[in-house]
Amino acid sequence: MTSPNIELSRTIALAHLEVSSDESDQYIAQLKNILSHMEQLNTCDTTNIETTPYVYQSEMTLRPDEISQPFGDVKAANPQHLEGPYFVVPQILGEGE
Amino acid sequence: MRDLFSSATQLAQQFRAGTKKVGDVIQQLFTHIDQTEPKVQSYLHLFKEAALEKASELDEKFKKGDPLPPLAGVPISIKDNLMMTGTPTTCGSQFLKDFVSPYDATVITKILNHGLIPIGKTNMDEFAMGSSTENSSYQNTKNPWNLNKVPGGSSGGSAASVAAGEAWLSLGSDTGGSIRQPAAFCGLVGLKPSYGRVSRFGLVAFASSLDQIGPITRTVEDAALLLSVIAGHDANDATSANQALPNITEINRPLTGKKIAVLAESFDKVIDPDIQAAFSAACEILKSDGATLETVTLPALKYVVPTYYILAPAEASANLARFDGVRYTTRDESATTLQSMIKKSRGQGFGPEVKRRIILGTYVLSSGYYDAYYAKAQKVRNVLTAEMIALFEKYDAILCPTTPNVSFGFGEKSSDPWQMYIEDMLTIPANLAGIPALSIPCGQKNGLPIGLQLMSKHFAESTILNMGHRYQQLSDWHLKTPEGITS
Repeated sequence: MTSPNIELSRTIALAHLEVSSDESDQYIAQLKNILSHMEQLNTCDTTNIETTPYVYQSEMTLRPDEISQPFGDVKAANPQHLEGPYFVVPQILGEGE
Repeated sequence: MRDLFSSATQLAQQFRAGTKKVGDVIQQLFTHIDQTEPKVQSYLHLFKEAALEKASELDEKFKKGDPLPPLAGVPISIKDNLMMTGTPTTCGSQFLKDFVSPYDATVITKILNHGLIPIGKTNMDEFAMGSSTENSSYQNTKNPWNLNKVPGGSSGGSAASVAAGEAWLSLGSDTGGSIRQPAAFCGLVGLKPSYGRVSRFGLVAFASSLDQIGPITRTVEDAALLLSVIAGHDANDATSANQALPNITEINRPLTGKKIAVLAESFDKVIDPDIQAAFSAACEILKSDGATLETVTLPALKYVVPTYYILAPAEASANLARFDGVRYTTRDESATTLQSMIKKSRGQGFGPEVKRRIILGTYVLSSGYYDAYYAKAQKVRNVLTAEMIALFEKYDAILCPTTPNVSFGFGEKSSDPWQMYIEDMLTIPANLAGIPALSIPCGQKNGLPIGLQLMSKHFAESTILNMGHRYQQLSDWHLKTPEGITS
């Protein structure tokens, strides 16, 4: 974890975000600063420590295998761009971005 | 007007005794909101008609002597990242300005079943990312104690609404301190329950391994009552725990025999000396009730901010991938392909802090950096948790201030994100370890409230509610109200 050289354009592409060049410059500076503080974690001895996403594992209780509709009608929550039961989007194939 | 600043428990008793009508209280409350909202700006949406209708139904039931739950009729505000059928859920983001909740969050179902009356939905940092509510893309909520100061965040609107007498109770969410820090800044009680204690179904996810919903109230007794309403296992949330509900009937037991670990870091130079003094005075009050206090250190505390700001953005970058301009959000209409539509919509829809965290989260999860950042932070999280669990083998609770500083001015910490992040250093440990934590008011500096934080082992909310309640029986900081808000 030495001197992070942010590959910002790659990261932005992965994040599916369009940002202006001004924003990009600002994010590079801020993220370099933030990541420099992360270096401190290297002083923490984590030998033989597991990686677990959840620190408290309570017993998982499964619900009955029955059909239910807890989410309501998600389409009706934002009905713009609906055509019948479908969300309408621009073409998938096209020139450039 | 003093009536608007009573506890929820007192108000509920007045309804039960027939000395107050729910409809009258709701009318009085909205008159007050009309006067204070232009100054405080706690709310994004208000539900006056629905509240009056519900009040009328409840008054009929009170009149008939129908059995009603303990908090029936009490007005409550809701953070705007909780789904409530037919109401907007914007998460403080313009990106969701047209989104209407298609279902009720489990906590909403529960408060409605208990007869609580939702007054409105409150302002917040966009997608709960922030410590001042300045990251809302709608408005700047002011701290009712000083309108030039922030209310804290991300549940700043929730805290401001209760502090300003615009609601008796509020529901917030806490990922790194977002209930406790605004509660501390606004002179209120804030409870982050154990991870899994309260269902997250219907809470718009920020960081799924850290998020919890909890109460913001004026008294610990109110927080205990509201927790008893919202807690419990939920089949719609696989991470909700099948644990016995906290016993809140004995929160007035004296603290004789209780052992409390005082974090030595509470007196570090980064903690405001006035906060240290208020904290020391609070320690003496707990001692006077019979508790034994001993100073301990938490070596991993120095790692919590970098650990959190790796893990939370990583989870956020995945959770916020669903906001793509296709389903829930606004859309950039100029794009001609699906890919560009998604990128443009997200680029325009998210605010600067959210974009910063998505990029940071994407970076620490990306190939070549995952082990160095994300995996390392997960391990450090386990180191911290082990240190805290070891302390709970000897002590009933851990005690420290809630925040290193009192509320600050608008724009004061906006230019350097890290300066804002380190304000969370004392609240983050409870989220990383998944344990419950309670903030209660314990003093003031220049008229701005100071918070005291109690943490206990997993699912031992009753322990810290007991300690907090006893503290409030022996002090009066929770009885103070912001002067000038009603003038």
